[in-house]
Amino acid sequence: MKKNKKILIIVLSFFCSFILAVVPFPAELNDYRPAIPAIVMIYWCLKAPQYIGVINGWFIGLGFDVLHGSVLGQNALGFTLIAYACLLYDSRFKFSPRSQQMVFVFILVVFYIAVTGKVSEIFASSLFTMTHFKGALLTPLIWSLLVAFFRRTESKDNTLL
Amino acid sequence: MRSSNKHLISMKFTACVILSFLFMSIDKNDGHLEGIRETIGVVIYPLYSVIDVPYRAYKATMFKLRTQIDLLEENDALRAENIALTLDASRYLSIKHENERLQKIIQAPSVIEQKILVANVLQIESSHASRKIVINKGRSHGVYRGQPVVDSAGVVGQVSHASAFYSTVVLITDAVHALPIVINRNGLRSVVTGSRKNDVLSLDFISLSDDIRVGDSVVTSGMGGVFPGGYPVGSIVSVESRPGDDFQRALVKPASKLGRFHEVLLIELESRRDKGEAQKENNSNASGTAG
Repeated sequence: MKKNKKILIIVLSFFCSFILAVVPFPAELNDYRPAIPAIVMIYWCLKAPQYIGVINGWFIGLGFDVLHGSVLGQNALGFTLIAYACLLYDSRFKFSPRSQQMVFVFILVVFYIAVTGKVSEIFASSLFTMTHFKGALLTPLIWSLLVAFFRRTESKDNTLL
Repeated sequence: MRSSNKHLISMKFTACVILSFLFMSIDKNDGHLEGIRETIGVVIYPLYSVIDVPYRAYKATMFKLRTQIDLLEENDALRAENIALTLDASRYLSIKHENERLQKIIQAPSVIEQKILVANVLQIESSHASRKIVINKGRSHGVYRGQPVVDSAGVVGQVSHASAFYSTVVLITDAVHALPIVINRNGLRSVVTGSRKNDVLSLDFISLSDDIRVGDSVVTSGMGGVFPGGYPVGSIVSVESRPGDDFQRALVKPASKLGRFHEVLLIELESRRDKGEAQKENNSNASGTAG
């Protein structure tokens, strides 16, 4: 695959995840809205670390902050943490079984929700409660869908073609 | 991963974390990062329309598909409402004249005329902790930071950020928002703040001797200079005074739909328009969201 096409796929996937993050949900389901941008971030950090790393993650997070109306820097911090964790775990991740990968992703998303929630409590005086973690429940499902959807773009060593 | 590579990543990571905290602490206090928000918004704001267009198309289709019976019923209801409103308006006119006469006698400055701009609420879910809505009018339509936003029932909030074509409105129920009010029944002045609970405003620091009852209606006092006076805010739903406390606390239920309506109204104050160049003192007018 050409370099431009790869970048286009990554950018489009982020745009789609952004849209899903702010599209209106029924009020009773809103607590369960999965943190899709974070999951997409994890995906590309692991599959295409040459394009999405700490710095790019920070800028993407900043963009998400503007869209989401949160304090500028909140998601930037969250995405930076995700990218860093992914890059550290990268080599081990490739050789671990699928179930273990999923557990890793789940823990990262919980961590992301905790950090961004706590930070917005400090800087935007919003309330951080346990209900925020309901958003992590659907993570394994979204992750599996993402993996299945992008399977065609993967090469044999589990990275973007 | 080679150790030098690892080192580089750690350094980038540390820099990004420091930068994030720097941004957040600056953004928390004031609008010094509006420029950055604006720049990123150029890429991000088109996404708003991507989300809003299908919803609007749905609404338009449903509107076209309505039956004649529905329309006739609606016409009847509107006609009835119109009669009632016309009656109210004629009474209001005489009261207005009387008011002007009285004000001339006591030589008070005349009531400020207001210009109103209708904006649509975009169907955007913002971070659920902070209570904000996005509207489809921006600086190019004359929206400015700190502009009061109301709907047909009462006060909704104020513009917290205006970009070229979109604005973010912070609702009065947001925890950082404060609104100067007066209680209609006895003219008691106070300030309501947003609360962390769902969709109620809290009225703290009412002294124990003050007369405040459940059901009292609360309107804006116009003291803060952001909101004009006399707009309905809500009504008191509970009053609580714990033994040993120096103050009583009350909860106010907002009268407005808080942006759940499809349309909101932006009020432009006459004094504001006279100054013309709105941009320059945007920051001085609304530094901090306190109304």
